[in-house]
Amino acid sequence: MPEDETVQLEADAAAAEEGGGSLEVDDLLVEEVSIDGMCGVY
Amino acid sequence: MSVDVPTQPLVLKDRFKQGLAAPICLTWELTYACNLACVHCLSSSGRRDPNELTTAEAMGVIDEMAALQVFYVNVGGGEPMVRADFFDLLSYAVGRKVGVKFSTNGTRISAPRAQQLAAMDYVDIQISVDGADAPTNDAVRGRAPLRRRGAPWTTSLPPGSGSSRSPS
Amino acid sequence: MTNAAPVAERALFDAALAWRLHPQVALRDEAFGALAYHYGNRRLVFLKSRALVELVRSLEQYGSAADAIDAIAPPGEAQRYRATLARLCRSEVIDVR
Repeated sequence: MPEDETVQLEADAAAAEEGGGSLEVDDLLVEEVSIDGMCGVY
Repeated sequence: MSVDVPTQPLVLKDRFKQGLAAPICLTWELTYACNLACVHCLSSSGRRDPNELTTAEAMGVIDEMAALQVFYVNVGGGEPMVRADFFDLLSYAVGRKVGVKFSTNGTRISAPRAQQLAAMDYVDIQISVDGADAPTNDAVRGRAPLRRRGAPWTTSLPPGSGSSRSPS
Repeated sequence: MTNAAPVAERALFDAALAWRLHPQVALRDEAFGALAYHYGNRRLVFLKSRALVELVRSLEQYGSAADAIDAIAPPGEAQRYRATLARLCRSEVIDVR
């Protein structure tokens, strides 16, 4: 895999981890979760 | 009036530890009858359970979900559309504001049924296709659904319906 | 995909207008406040204060969101509640009447 592609994947992974995945945490009185596709029958 | 004075914002994961008033969604294997025989079937389906719920009993379950305010139910099986009362139960759930996301092999979706489903709110449909071509798919699915039926849903859903979300 | 207005349109929250809980949203009371599930965009939103839930449920009784905030937000919290409503507007939990 090209080096710059590896670096981008690592950056994406770090950003995703920091952002808590699909959870949006802010200091307001709401939190939003995207659950579409998270449960279902396969 | 009680005063709510939030100090630290509540963290989502801590809230989950205390549980919720009701499930967000439920999964329901509506029947174990199926007209296919997929090699990977998680529910070992193919034969209808003699004790499966009657229409009245199933509607009773939907009533409970509506009372709990479960937001939606994932319906699978077996093949849920082989039940003769499938569309009755679907309408019943939607009428009580319980969303339905059902998983189907699609063999029972005729063109008129596709139109009917596309017109319904609160309904998501998941059509199981296990290959980029018919021979691959059919080998997995155990019979020949795509070749036989010609996948009517792909031509019957209105433009803009989307491929991975519900028609509505 | 469901029909969705451009993000820029949806993002504007004008507290001088009359608002309401979005008709496609189911609001379910919880110990911490409420869960809001939008049947159109499939978003699940946690409302983390009972006052906020009361505010959202009461919006349609007021001529403007500003009036509703004045009446219902706890003392000193008006700006926070206003910002929260703006966030709920962006998630389409509330819309203009």
